[in-house]
Amino acid sequence: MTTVGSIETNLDKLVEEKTDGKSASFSEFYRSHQLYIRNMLFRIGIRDELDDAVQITFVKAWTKLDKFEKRASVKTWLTRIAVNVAYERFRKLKPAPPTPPRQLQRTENRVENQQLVSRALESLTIEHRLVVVLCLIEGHSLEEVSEITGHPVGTIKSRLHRARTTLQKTLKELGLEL
Amino acid sequence: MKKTDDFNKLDLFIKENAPLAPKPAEGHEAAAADALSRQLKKRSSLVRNSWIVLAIAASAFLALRSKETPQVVPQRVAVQQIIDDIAEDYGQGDDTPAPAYENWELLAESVSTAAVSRQ
Repeated sequence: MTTVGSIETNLDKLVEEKTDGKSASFSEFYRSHQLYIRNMLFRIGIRDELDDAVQITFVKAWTKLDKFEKRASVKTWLTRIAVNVAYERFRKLKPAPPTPPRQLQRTENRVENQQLVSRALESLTIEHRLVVVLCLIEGHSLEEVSEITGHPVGTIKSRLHRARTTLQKTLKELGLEL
Repeated sequence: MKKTDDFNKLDLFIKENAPLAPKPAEGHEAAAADALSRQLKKRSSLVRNSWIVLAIAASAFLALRSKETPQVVPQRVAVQQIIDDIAEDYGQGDDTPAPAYENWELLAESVSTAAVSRQ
């Protein structure tokens, strides 16, 4: 599993190598971090073009590595690029018709619970889903999410609160009482 | 307090059961990384910001899109990035207006049609 610590270390090393004109390894960069980016993009709703979105994220990150100013952490910077790629994808897609609620039961089966969470996430707007994924699942702080999305911390807080309320309601409709 | 407790339970349930992206086919990840790496090396040697490069890139993009396989995706992504970069470069020029994206696609279609008719 890729940890936040290893992302920071590897990307810092990579930035340094590329800036110094050394032969940094793009393959290593991609292999080290693609799982984190892949899961994050999937969770915010990228489905059919997931491979494309992951690869575009890394090509963009690599080509703009020289411009990375270290104002934010490297993980935040990479996440921001991925989120922008996702937004470009969403803009090109027509909104999917809402799916009717289907009863699912909370079980000890992890796969079924993941389906429940997936359905609940789909009920959110993209802005709310993004905040839930980044804050609750990926463990980013409110300040980091503010940096990634370009919205003030207050907006992120309020979106998170509304998203949680919607999630609770949706999960209840799906037959889950927490 | 009840609300906070409820949110804590909700947060935990969401985190513990976060959906996972389907795993790519075996070998795909390594192949994609290597293919992207090769494409980026080739890309750096290209003379950018030129209509000739754009035309070749657009043609390649269309050709690759027509025979999509997991191995082809990285090449198409790299080509798409070249097109996007050129479009961005034009946008940053002092006097040269950035062509609308639709025009790039139109150009790509023309190049592709011409390529097919020559075959």
